[in-house]
Amino acid sequence: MIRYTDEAIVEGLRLRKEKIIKYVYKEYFSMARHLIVNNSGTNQDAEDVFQDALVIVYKRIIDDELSLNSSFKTFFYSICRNIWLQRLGKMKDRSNDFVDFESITNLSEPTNDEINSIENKKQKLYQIHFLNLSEDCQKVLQLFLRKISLREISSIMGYKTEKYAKTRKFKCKEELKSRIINDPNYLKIYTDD
Amino acid sequence: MIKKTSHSQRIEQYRFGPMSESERLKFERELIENPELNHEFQLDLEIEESLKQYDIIDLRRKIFRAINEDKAQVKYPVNKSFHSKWYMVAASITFLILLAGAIHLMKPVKYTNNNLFEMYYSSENAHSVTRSAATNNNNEEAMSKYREKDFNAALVLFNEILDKDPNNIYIRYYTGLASIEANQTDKAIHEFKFIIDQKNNLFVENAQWYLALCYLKNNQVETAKDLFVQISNSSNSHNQEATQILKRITK
Repeated sequence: MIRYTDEAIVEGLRLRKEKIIKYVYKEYFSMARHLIVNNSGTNQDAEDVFQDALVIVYKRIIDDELSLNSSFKTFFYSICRNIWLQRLGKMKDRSNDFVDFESITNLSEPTNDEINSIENKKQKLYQIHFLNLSEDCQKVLQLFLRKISLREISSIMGYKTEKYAKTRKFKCKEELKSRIINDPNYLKIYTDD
Repeated sequence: MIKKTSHSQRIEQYRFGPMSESERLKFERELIENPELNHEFQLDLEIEESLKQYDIIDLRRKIFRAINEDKAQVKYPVNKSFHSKWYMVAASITFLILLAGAIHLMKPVKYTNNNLFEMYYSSENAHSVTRSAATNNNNEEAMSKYREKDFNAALVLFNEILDKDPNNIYIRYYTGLASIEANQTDKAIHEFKFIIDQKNNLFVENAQWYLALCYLKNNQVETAKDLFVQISNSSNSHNQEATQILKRITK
């Protein structure tokens, strides 16, 4: 497998290049899973933390707030570690119980806001449910949000009438809303709010 | 019990019409007085806002693909009982039904070049200038204009930067994207070709993809097809989209 330099990884993530995302997954997911599974988490937790960590890294890159003072591996490990610590609520009182497997850097600590803000939690929930809709629904909703006219949406999607495009968009959004409000995490977020 | 939305139709009418003026006023009053309606209305707005984070959604989609691809590679032992006679009969019937449905759905749908462009083009999020990209105030200002979607202003500033630093691939790339957004397809083609000619940079794959889309938009169909074939047969991250688009291009 090709090995990418840390700088190439950062540039690849900035461009959301799939091969770099897969590379980061192949190289670093097992490290994150090892950390989480050995600290009271599950595989699913590990996937969740990995995703959150990559989104945080990406946001930092595009906001020009990423400064790598260590290797990308150490940086990414530290992000995953801090997310998991915060999720466990152990940051202050139980961090001594935490088992580490890699060296860490203090410079990459994600802020509580990056991980736990209600806003971020909601966005993640909505986006994940959106990605679980059919491809057709995802496309209709995105075209609509891009302010493409119903006439053009009908043409692009191969619908016969604008009315159908409007109905389809409404039904897709309904489906999305229904999935969201029936997700137990939705209620949890609003209870925390 | 499955929870249901109860005000969606009215919210939709209020936001996107049709709704009479008196109904609008009534709705707005109710919005203040009815917390349930208000909550659902806010949810509607929040969902739309979160879906406008096209880049984050794209990133999440690719992360899911990486995870799922990895899971799919795990080989599970085949349970031989699956191959029992009745399963085979059921599978055959299902196959025939699916085949009949597929034949029915295989009526060709024609797409114009512009339709295909709209379907496959997605604007890139504005990024800050990297450490490696000769950071200066001009770059920041240009990228800021790009972020604000003031593409014409961004292009003026990008051109000024390129006058002084013509090999700045990063700025070339965003000049190409801004040119697409400003409907200056020929200029976009020029920039993406420049990037591809330089080789060995991280922007080549995306530049190939956008170049092919630009050719399509310009109705240079044969040139676009050649490039899509090249992308489709390569490890370019857009290879699956290129394969799809080739099937849809009108002959």
